[in-house]
Amino acid sequence: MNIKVKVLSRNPDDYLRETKHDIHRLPRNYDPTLHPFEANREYTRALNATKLDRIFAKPFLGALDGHSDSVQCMSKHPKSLSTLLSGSCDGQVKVWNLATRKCVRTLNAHRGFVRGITVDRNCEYILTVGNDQTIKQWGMEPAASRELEEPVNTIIGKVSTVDIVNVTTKSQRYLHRSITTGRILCMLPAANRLTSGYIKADPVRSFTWGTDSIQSFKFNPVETNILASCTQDRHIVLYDTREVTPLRKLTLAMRTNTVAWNPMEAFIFTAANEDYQLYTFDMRRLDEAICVHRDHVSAVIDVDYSPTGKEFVTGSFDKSIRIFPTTESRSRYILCGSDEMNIRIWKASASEKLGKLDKREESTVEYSNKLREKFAHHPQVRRIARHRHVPRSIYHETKIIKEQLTSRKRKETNRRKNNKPESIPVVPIKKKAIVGEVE
Amino acid sequence: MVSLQKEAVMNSSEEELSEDEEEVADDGRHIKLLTAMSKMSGKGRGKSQLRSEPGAVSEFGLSTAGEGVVEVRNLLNSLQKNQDQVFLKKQLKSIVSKKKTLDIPLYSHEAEKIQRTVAYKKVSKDIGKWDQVVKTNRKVEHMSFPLNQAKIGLQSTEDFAQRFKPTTPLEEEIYKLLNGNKYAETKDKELTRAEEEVLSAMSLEEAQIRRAELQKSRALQSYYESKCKRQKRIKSKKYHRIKRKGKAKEEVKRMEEMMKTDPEAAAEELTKMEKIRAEERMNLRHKNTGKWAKGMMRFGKYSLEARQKIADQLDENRVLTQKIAEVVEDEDGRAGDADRVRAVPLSLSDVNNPWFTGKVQTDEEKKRGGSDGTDGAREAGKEFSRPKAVEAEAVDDSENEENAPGVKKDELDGELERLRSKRKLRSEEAQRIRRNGETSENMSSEEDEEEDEEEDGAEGLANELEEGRKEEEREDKKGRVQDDALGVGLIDEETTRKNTEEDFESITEMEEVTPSERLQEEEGKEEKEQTTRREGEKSSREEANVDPSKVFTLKPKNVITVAPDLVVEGDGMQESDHLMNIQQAFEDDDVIDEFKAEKEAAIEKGKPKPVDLTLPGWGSWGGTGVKPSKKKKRFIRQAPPAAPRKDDGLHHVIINEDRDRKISLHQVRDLPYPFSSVEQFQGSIRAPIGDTWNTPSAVAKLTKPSYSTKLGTIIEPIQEEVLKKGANKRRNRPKPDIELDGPKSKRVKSRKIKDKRQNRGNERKATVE
Repeated sequence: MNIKVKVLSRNPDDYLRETKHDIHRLPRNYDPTLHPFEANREYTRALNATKLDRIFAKPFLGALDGHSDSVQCMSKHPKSLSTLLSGSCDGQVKVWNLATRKCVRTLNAHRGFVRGITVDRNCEYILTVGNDQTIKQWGMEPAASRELEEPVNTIIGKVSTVDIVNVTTKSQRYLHRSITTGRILCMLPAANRLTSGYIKADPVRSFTWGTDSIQSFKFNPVETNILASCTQDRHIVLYDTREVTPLRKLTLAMRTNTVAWNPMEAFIFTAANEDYQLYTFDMRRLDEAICVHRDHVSAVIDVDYSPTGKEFVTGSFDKSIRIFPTTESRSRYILCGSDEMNIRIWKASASEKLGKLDKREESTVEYSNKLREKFAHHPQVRRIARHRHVPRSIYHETKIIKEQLTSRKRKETNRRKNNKPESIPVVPIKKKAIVGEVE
Repeated sequence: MVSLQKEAVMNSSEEELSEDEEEVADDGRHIKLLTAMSKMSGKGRGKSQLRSEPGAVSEFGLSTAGEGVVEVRNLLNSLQKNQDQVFLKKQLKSIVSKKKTLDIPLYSHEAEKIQRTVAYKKVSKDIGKWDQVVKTNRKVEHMSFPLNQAKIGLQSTEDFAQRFKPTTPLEEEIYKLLNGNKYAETKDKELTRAEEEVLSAMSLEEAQIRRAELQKSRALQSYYESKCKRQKRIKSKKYHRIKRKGKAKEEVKRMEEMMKTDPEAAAEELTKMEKIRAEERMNLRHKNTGKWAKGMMRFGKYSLEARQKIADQLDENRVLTQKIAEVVEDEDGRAGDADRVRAVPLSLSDVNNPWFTGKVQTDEEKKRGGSDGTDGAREAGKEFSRPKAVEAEAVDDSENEENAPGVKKDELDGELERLRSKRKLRSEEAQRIRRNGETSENMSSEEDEEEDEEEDGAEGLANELEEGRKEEEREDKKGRVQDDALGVGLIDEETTRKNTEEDFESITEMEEVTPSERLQEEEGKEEKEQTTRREGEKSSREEANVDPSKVFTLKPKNVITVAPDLVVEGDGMQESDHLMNIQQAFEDDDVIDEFKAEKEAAIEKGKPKPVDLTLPGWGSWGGTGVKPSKKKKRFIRQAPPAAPRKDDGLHHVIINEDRDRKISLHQVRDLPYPFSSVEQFQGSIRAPIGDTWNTPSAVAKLTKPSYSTKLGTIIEPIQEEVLKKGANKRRNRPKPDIELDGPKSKRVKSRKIKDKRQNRGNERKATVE
């Protein structure tokens, strides 16, 4: 009889942690034969991740209640993430704290609509414009007494101005547009010591091309000299403040309501159009859209890019908000709202957990996100991921639009069949809406 | 011109008047006056001059005759072709060609259009500076926002090394050694500067040879290093023991060599050995008094191995303490040889031991060995450490030798010999198994039996025969069970060890006939009768419940199991009982028939059916009692024969070739966009990204999102600094050497600047003073 005792001898460094704050080391054998069916198991995980994503999809965060009329315009604070400014149709401007969801300050700014709000570069003044043909400048800090707040500076314009934009370049300037004359006016803060920071009463410059009124305009956030405006007569006009003349005019089939510039790609902008679609353009090639984004079932009113430049959010008359990836034509639908007097806060990714995540939690989220991405093309995963309960109106409209599109397509193919070959040219969807360029 | 001429005329007439106031000219004057008057009045004015001037043109009057207006080009023609004059010509021409009037200005809208086009082009070109940044940002795998985050975290050694500037004199010295020195190795170059210099000093061929040598030596060095590392890492004690033994052997050989070639060195070695011997004698290291040895002695009663180990140790002690004989150089060197051989440690694990060298001496060799004096001595020296089993073998061997010439003997003798050889076989096998560390109680007990047999081996032949028969039977059973359990016999029995390839080939041929069968063939008739009777009984018992027709023909599989022959001891009865139980348990279920029917049904179902294209009521009469017409056959279309089933050759499975609908719901039908081939897509799906299959770092890399944002930060639009950074990077990239020479040159520069500053300072001082 022989006894052979095999003793496991291990180096403590391999399994003991150095401090009690370290995690325990778990040796693992990654031999693939020990972990079979990897694709199948990962598929199941992906499916579960997709389902969980839908289960935890709770995008609504809260509402900012306080306006007594519809909200007309909103503005972000340039230096504070938790501050939001909003102006309503009854001439009130409210300053909100997003963290507490409370109204911090209320200004009775204008008679009639408040059309535009902006905060100056140094965060000293709030500027508002309204339908009452005035531009008002307010101090950033609320007044000490409870009296009615008065603006520090009021400029009475000759025409009713509708929008104001603060351009954060080296030399600060404000621009506002007028409804009737089709002009964009450029104002400068005074350099005078006494009235430093106040806007001068007279515009230093105006930009114009054509007489039709201007719908909206946006500055390029990267190349801050370039701006784009949309006019009522379905043009998009590009300007450069360094040049004497405007740059170019693009005509689309229907009116463009707003444009938004990509904050990470200087020459890319997206136009929200009345034809339910959005068009992303390269500023240098206006004869063809880079991408056509379609999912809305009514005119798109507004568009804005996320600060990362990877996505943009759109609002439409169909009472829905959608988020589009910059390079894709299909969107994520997040919500629908009614035009009451609330401001609502939503999460961009519905199932995301807010706040700082634990390291392991974070890695799990990353893994499940990657899995969903990896198996995105599998029918079940796609089905679950895309499934949404939309309002009845949107559902029916979508159906109708789909039918219209197919019928149009059918008609075109029929026409092509019954005509001389190549007599009816094939126009790609990216060029369909473009009427022309004006030099 | 006309008026000029007129004046001239007038002047001339006046002059004439003043010059001579004589009447002679009166008539003439009058006529002149008249003509002038006539000219002044009315139509005659524009008419050509009447006056003509003969001879050369004076400087006061210009001839207008013939050509009229003189132009510049007419004058230029007369200029000669000197260089100066050519230049003058050009200048004059350019002056002449300039227009005096401007073009009509463009219409304002057209002018603006041009302006706008120019401006647009300019701006477009200017904004193109972002192209590169945008392109890289789109391609990059991970982006972290905000973009201009300050880098936090520990400084890596590389970073530190790059930024490091020697300050203290010691540091500077070290830095010089590391960087400026020509012997210092650099990252990107294979050779040091000194080596390069040497190479450049040589001719090309020499240099090449030298370099090759260097490379080779380096390679060899690295190979050797890696080999040493590898060997050092081997945990097997056995390996190290064998290696040690090998070294010892080499040492002995070397000694022998040395004896012949360099006796002085050998003598030194001998003194060393003497010293070792003295040390050994002084301590009790290899005695049986130690703790380990005592423990082993306790086990020794039960374990052969322990006994063996103690014996080994004592043996080592004996060897080490053995007095080394003074080497006396004989003419023959024979006696010395023998002594030296004795000096070699002798033990079970001896290199010369036939059981451990993997070589068994054949009979002939042994005979030779017997005649050889040295081998005999070795044999004698070994004997004390041999276990009994081996001894038994030796006895057998000697018997074999004795019996070999004896051809004509009676049957009993032959039988005996056969049995013996068999026993030897078993002992050999036991030996081998023991060496593999697979000893079992079973085996040892068997061995004990054998040993017992051996001890009273001198008893009557008949007795032995009786014993032998029993054993044979046992062996037969064992063989059968083994065959069943192992398929291919794990232990192949033979008298001689395989040494050459032919031997091994012969094994493979022989494998079909198991040793037991072979033995059976050889067996005498009487034995056969006996055994067959018993076996017949057994087989009839086994076959009682098995229907030979209901058996699948399966190909035998080579199942390699390490199942030892422990079951061997169990008698046949038990096994058959077990079989019986299984048979009884499944007596009522006719599984095989059921399965066959099921499979046939599946095949039938899978067969393509003929298509009936007949239209009822067409081309035939209907009603009761009407036979189906023959025409109907025309409308039945026979289906093409089905493709062969996958389970055609496999009798024991049914493979369902129909598509699984449940799975198809989950399958991707079309190739998704970014992939260009099905394989590519499949590959992407197959490669797992989870932590079940990947290391944490790999998972972190694989699951990294395409972009991430930092919580609670404002993400500003991209700034122009990015462009500058990118430009800097691009500029830096093609110069990897900058790291090497950078600090040096910088230092030089900074020194220069310092010098300049100092100079300036001095100047200032000077001026102040």
